[in-house]
This record gives sequence, C-alpha cells and structure tokens, in this order.
Amino acid sequence: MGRKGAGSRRLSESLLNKEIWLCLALLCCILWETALLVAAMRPEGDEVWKGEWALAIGVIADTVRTEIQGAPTDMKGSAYDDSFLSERNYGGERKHYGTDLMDLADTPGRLPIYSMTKGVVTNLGWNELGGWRVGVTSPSGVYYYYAHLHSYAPGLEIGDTVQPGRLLGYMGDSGYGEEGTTGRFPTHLHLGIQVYPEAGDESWINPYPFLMERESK
Amino acid sequence: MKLTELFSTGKPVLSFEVFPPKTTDKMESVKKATEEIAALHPAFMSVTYGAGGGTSAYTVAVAKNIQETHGVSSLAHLTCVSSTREQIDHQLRLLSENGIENIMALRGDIPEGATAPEEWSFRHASELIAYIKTKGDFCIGGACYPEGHPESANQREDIANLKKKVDAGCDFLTTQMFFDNNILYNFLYKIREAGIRVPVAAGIMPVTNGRQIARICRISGNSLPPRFKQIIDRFADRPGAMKQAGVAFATEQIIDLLANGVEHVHVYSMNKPDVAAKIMDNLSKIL
Repeated sequence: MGRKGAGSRRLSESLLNKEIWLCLALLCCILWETALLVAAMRPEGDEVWKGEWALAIGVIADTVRTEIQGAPTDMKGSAYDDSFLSERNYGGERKHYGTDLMDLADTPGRLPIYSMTKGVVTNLGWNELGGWRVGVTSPSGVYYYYAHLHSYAPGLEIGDTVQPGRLLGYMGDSGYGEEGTTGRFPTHLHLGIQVYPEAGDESWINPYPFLMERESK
Repeated sequence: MKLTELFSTGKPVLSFEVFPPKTTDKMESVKKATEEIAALHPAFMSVTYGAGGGTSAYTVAVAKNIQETHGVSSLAHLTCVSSTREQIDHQLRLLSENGIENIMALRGDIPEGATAPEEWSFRHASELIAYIKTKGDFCIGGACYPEGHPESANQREDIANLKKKVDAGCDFLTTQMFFDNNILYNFLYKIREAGIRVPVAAGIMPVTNGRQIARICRISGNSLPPRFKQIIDRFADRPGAMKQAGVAFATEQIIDLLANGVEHVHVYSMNKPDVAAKIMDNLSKIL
C-alpha cells in the first residue's frame, strides 16, 4: 500500500507540475503574442512607452480577433508575408499600412475576396492608391479595407450589411493612377485594418498576425 | 512554338527535361528515351547543355529530334560560362538553323579552380540573355532559386539579380527543384512583390535514387522536409520502392501546385520515360 500511495502521490505531483508548466507556457505565449502585436502596431518614432497604450492595443487585438472569428480560413492560391510599414514609393515615399496577399498565378479576377467580418459597406469605388476598393466598417467601428480589386461581387452597394464570408469581389491589379488603371503591379489584395479611422494613418494595425492565426485554424 | 504562347493559354503546362549524350555512341539510347518521353505529348521538353567538347551540338540534335518526331516544342539550354562570344554565336546559329526558338539561358557551373577570367565574354546569365536578345527572335528562359542561389549572400540579393535577368529580356523562369511547396509560394510572393511578373514554371524532381538526392541537396543547398527524409530513410535501399514513393511524392507536389494556381510545372524527368509516363498517368484527369 505504501508503495502504491507513494506512487500515487508522485503521479499526482507530477500531473500538478505538468498543469503548472502548461499554464506558465500558455501565459508566456499570450505575453509574447501581445508583445509582438504591440511592437507591430506601435507608431514609429514614438519613444514614450505608456502602459495605457499597451493596454489599448491588447483590447484592440482582442476586438479584431473576435470580429474575424467567422472569416474564411482557406487562403489557397495566394501567399502573404509581413510587409507592414515597409517602404512604398508611389505618390511619394510612404509606409505600407497593410498586408499584401499575392495571387500565385498573377491572374486578375481569379481569386474571390470574402469579407473577414460582419459590417456595413462604407466605401466602394475607385481611389488612386487602392484602385477598385471596398471598405467594411464593423459594429465596433474597425475599418477593414480591401484594395486593388479586379471586379466587385454583383449587386454590392454602399450601405449593404455583410456577414463574414460574404463575397466582396475578385483579386486584381487596379490602382496607382486614374480610374481604371491596371497592371502597375502584380495581382494582389491589399488588406488593411484601421482601428480608429479618425486618427489617420497611425491607427492602421498589422493584419499579418491575424491572418496567420486564422489560417492555422 | 514559342513557350510564351503556351504559358499564355491559361491552361496547365506540364513539361519534361532530358539531357544529351556525352559521347556519340550513347546517342541512340538517348534518342530512344527522349522520343518515348516526347510520345507522352508534354507541353514542351527541355534539353540540357552538353558543355565542353562537341557535346553542345548534341543538345541541338536532341532538341531538333524531339520537335520533328512528335511535334513537341523543345527548349535548348545554353550556358555561357567559359564560352567565348564566337562560341555562343555559333550555337545560336545552330539553334536558329534547326528551328529551335526557345533557349534556356544559363550561366552554368564555374569549373573548379576557375575564377571567371577576363577572356570569358559572359559572366552572368543576365549578360547572355541581353546578348541573345540582339541575335534573333528567340523566346528566352532563365533559372531562379526558391531557396536562394548557393552563391548569393541572401535572398534579397538573389532576387535583385533575378530582376536583372528579367529586365535583360528573360521571357519566363524555371525554378530549381524544391521539395516543400511552401518554399515556392513564399518565393513567388517575394518575386512578385519585387515586380517580376513573367511566367514561372515550378521545377519538380521525382526522386528515384535516395542516396543521390541527399548528395545533390548538400551541394545545391536544397532543404528536404522531414516527411521526405522519412521516405528516403525508409526506401533508399529498395530501388523499386524508392522510385514508386518518389513519383508519388512528386505527383502530390504537382497536384498541390495546380490547386494553388501554379499552372506551369517542369519535371526534371531526366532520361527516364517510365517516370515521366507514370507522372502523366497520375495526372491524366487533372491536366
């Protein structure tokens, strides 16, 4: 009995240890992920590191993560990388406030673009940088920006309410010029997420970690 | 037919690669093997360059035979390292006279001990490509390296060099072999982002000799995914099993590529009609 009891205790201690380690590992993962997100979203040149800012970023990340729960996870046919804040030249030197998803076949009109989130179509039509673009504002006020489209889903209009997975249009190579300009760059989707549109460019956040997270589901 | 026409049809393009004989006495067996592959009617076939001696003429002979016997367009390799301008001119004339419109322009491996001496007319593939452009209406292909060229300092430098090739007049690219499709997808992202928009044919090597591939990968810097290493560990000592597993792995890679919109696949079939036939059969309803 003694041997069995000792053995049982050792087993339960070992299980307890495992649980503690698992919790610690999970906590470390969460802290690390938050740190990465904060680093990615922190405005360049900001030397003041405020606790409130970090907290706000954590809340924003959770909001976006919750909003895109229903987003499609299949990104077959495209490839993406972390290019947030990389250099761009068209229209003067500027930063890249988004993630580009490249069509592996570089064929405009081939890949469908679905809404990542529930929301209302608040922008539709041409703009010089984004070409044919769609802007969807979620119930929390986060703005999801899909640019360089080849064409729109039939019937899509400003004011439409969309659900996650709703077809918005097709990947293209439009933009960087006057209305109708195409072919200035390879076929891709520019995906932008702006958490506080009134704040301007500083409030774009990096979609890359969210895409990675969705794809791993 | 120029390969750019094939690449623009919007349909999948599957092609095979063969090599010319090193000596005249092997010409018949090579002809037989390449004709058997041509009889499978791939979109086109490439013939590697027999550098040195008189073997470069065999490249033209094999490429011409493929076109004439089965009407399959051929792509003749041409390497420039250690060649003079006159030798390149001669080869271009030969190709033109024999109706070969497609050239794979490569630097080639630098001979051991050589350090690109002054008398070489071309030091980089981009220089050869620019030169060929001035010499006739050829369709020109170039090589690219999803895992980076072994001599490049990093991938950024490698892609900058690739851009030079394309800007020099390269009409399409064929990749070095790779065994993990994600490496290719990542590479395609980077080259497209760099503004390289020419068609890219993905190079697939059906591994039929496990021991050989480990050595090739050590030299070329190719990485082998764990799943593939397990196949080699398990089957390398059994040639029949290795061939079957290698063809199955290559087929799976090709299907994944096609499913992801990579429509152009170049199979390094070498002179193995049975391997080429098996792959064609595996894809008969897909292509």
